[in-house]
Amino acid sequence: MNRPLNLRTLTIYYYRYKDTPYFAFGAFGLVLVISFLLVVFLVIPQIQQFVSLQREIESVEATISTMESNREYLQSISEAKEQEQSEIVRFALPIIKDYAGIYTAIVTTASQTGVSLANFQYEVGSLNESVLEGNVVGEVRVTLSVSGSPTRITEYLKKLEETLPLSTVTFIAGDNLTSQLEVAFLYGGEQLIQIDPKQPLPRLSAEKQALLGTLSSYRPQVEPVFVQSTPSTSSAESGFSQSPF
Amino acid sequence: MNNGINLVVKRVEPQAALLQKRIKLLRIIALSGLGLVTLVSIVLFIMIIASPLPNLREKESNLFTSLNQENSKIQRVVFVDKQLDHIQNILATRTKLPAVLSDVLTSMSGIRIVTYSSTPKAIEMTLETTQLSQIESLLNTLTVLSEQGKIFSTIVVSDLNVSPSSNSYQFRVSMTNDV
Repeated sequence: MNRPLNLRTLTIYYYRYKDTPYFAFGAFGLVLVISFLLVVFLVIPQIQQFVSLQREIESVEATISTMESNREYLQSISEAKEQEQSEIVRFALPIIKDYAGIYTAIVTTASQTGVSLANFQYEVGSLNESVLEGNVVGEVRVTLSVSGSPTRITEYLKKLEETLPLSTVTFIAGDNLTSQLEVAFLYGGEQLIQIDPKQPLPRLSAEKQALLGTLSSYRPQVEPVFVQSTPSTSSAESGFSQSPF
Repeated sequence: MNNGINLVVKRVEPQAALLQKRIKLLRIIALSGLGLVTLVSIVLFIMIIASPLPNLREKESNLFTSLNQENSKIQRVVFVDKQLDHIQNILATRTKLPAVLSDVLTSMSGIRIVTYSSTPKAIEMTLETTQLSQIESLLNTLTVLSEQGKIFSTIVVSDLNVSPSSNSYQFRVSMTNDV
C-alpha cells in the first residue's frame, strides 16, 4: 500500500535516520551532487562567457590599436603633402581618359626635344567607356606624325615616356625625315575605393615614395605652347582630370 | 553527561570508526567542493561584471566616428597606394622600345637610315652605307648590345644590294626577340 510522501512522513524519516550513517552519506552526497550541478550549469557557462569576453576584448583592443595607428598615420601626413601625392598619381595614371593631359604631354615634349608635330590623331572611343569597370588599366592610342631624324624622334619618345600621363610606345615607322608613331596613354586603375577604417591603412613603402618622387619629376613643368597641330579626331572631353572624390 | 555517569566503558567498533572517518572525509569533500564552486562562481561573476569591454566599445565607437570624419582623406591615401601599385606594374611591364631603338641608332655612325619600323617585338631597318667595313662594325656593335641584353636577341642582315650609281651598299637589318 503506497502512502503519500508528505511532510509528516519526511519528518518521521528524518528522526528515524538522522543519527545513522545513511543520513550523513545522503546529505553530503546531495551536497556533492548540487556542487556538480552548479559546476555544469553555472560555473562552466560562466567560464565560457569569460573566455568569450576575453576574446572579444582582445579583438576590440586590436581594432582600437589599428584605428589609433590609422589616426596617427593620417595626422602624420599633412593635408598639402597628401593632396600633392594624390595629384601626382592622378596625373600619372588618370582614372578616366585625360585628353587634355595627353595633348599637353605630346606638345610639351615636342617643344622640349625639338621635333615638329605634323599632325596627330587619337581615338576617342566610346564615351561610355571613359570610366573603366573594375580596377583595370586601359589605354588611349594616339597616332603621331612627327618630323625629325630618327635620333631626335627616339629622344622625343624617351622624353614622352618620362612625361605624365604614363604612356608606352607601341609602333614606330618612318624614314630619315618623318616618322609615324603610335603611343598608348594609360588610364584607369582604382575606380571605387571602399575602405573600412578598422582595417590598417596602407603605408607608402620607401620604394613607392621614391616612385612618387620620380613621377613628380615627370610632371610637365612648362605650359604647352599652342602649335598649329590639328588633331584628326578632336577631343570633346578635354579637362578630364577631375577627382573621383 | 550521560557518558559521564555511564559506568560501562563505551566500546567503539573499528568498523564504526572507519565509517565515521569516511563520513568526515565525505563532509570535508562535499563542503569544500561547494565552497570552491561558490567561490569560483562569485569570482567569475565579478570578473564578468567588471569587464572593460563596454569602455573599450565606447572608445572604439569614438575612434570610428573620428576616422569616419576623415573618410575622404583615407580614400585618397588608399587611392594613392593602389594607383602606385598599378603604376609600378605598368613601369615594370611597358615596352622599352625607345631605349632599344636609341641603343641601335647610336651604333650606326656613318650609316644612313632609309626606312625603319619598330614594334615592341621587332625592329626592321633598311640602311645605306658607302663602306662595307661600317656594316661589319655595325654588326659587331649590335652583337655586343644583344649579348648585353640591351636590344633584341636575333639579328638578321639580308638583301644586301650594291648601287653602282651612288657607289653605296643598301641592306636590311631585322631584329627580333625570337630565338
